[in-house]
Amino acid sequence: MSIISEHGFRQDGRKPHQIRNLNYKLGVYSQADGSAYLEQGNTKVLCAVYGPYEPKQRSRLLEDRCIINCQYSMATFSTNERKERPRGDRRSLEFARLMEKAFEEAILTENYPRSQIDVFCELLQADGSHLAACVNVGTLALADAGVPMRGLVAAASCACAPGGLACVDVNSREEMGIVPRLTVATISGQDAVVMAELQNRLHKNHLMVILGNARKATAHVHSCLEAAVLTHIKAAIGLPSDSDVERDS
Amino acid sequence: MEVQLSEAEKVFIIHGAQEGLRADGRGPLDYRPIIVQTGVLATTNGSARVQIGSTDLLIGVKAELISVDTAVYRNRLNFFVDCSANATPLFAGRGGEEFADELSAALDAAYDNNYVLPDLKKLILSPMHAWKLFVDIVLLQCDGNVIDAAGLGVKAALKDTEISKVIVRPADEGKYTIDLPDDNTVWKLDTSRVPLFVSVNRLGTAKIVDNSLTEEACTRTSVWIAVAPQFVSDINHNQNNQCAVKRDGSIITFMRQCGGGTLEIDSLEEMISIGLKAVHQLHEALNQRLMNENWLIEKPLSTFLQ
Repeated sequence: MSIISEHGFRQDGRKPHQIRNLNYKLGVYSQADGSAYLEQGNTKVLCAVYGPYEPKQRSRLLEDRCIINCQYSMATFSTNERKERPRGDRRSLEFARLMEKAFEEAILTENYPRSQIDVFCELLQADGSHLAACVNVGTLALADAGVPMRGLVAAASCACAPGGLACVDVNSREEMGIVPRLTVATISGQDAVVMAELQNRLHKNHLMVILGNARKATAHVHSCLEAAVLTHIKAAIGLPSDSDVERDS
Repeated sequence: MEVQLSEAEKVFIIHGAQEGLRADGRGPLDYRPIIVQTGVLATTNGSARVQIGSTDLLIGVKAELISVDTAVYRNRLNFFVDCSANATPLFAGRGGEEFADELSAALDAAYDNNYVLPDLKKLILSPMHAWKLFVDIVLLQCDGNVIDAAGLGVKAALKDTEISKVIVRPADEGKYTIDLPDDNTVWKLDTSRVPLFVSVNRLGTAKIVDNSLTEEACTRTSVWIAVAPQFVSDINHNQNNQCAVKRDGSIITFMRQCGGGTLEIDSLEEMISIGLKAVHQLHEALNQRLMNENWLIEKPLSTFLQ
């Protein structure tokens, strides 16, 4: 079956350029320095941020800036088929390194020399766009921890349907087989791309179309994340907020 | 899992416990507020979320149809504990594996008998097919007393578990095929005998339950006890379902000392009686909670958004 029906809708009723609903909660856990929970459709991620703190391994310490340590973990019950191990496989290590590079660009690392910031993501339910959801929840948790950043890192994924049509924010049924998928993260939903990951083969004529649509999707995601952080700050300092209106995208 | 306390802080906590007062105002046999929710995950056959104070556990039960020689198959639950790094940076990578193995070994031992889950025999479908139940626990936040939370959560998740009914047909050469019926019916496990855990801890001369993280740092030794309820009908082998079921006692399915230090026999017996008293209250409260769940108001699938 194809991703898009002949009437122009996807299987879950979205148009190709529409992202899924984002539900969030900041400050889930009090023991972490920052924590966030994000639902992007049926993909549910929990993130905790610890730090900046003094690293225990002196060899990793950098004199001029802090180091970012990310961990990506999938719960064994998060997929329909049970996973044997939550982390340690090649894909989770690759995702962790990609997230580290993205956050290193956004966080003002030179403010914290000889320090370490830990970002731990736990995927509770998997329904596609895992890397994008982890980057989004990580940036919410970093904002909750009060880590200064150049802007919120917003990530979105984009698949190329046959014929070069771009579908953003793919779910697990669209992430199948040989469909090319691009995950892009930008700062503040603008032009600076801090992460790009492409799976499967993509014709070069379709690349700019997919990239443009993915960047537009990150702008949509960024407006949701910005509203989330703004609502959380207003609630924290006692200002009235439109929490129920702004919660869903 | 690690709190740095000075000696003066430890002395304060131990003296308070010996006086019957704890740092958060509880008595020796008091639990922190416990929140249990079931049906919190859509990708599992059964799921539960348990919070004791700040300790937070997420439990999922998955049923897989496997092909085995059921004559030699070990028909038991399969426990896996994942200490998420969300709880503490010490759990990053493989840091929490030792604690996770300790927890899963305790759960394995407590459930390793034919009494606690009589429906396990229904998991055997044919001489070569069986359901295999995986119970996966994710430790999201750790503020002490993880074993009690794991016991509560596993019972709640098993109560929530739904397994599809299947049709077993004989095939050629002595083999069997498995089909799904059209009406898509499910059956649930009988969890009336599932054990609950209690951890009784020695602080100085005091014996307390539900220790927080700071109290764990002052604990000399702990005893983990798993207790399954026992009913009159079991003793009399009464097959009459009309007989009123009354709780008459309990069966200890697991007991283990954790941490160093020695224990006198008198102290151990006193800790066992304290544990039995606490676990009876836990059983009654959990059974009441699981029967009174209101799905429409609580929205369990959105448990982290509340």
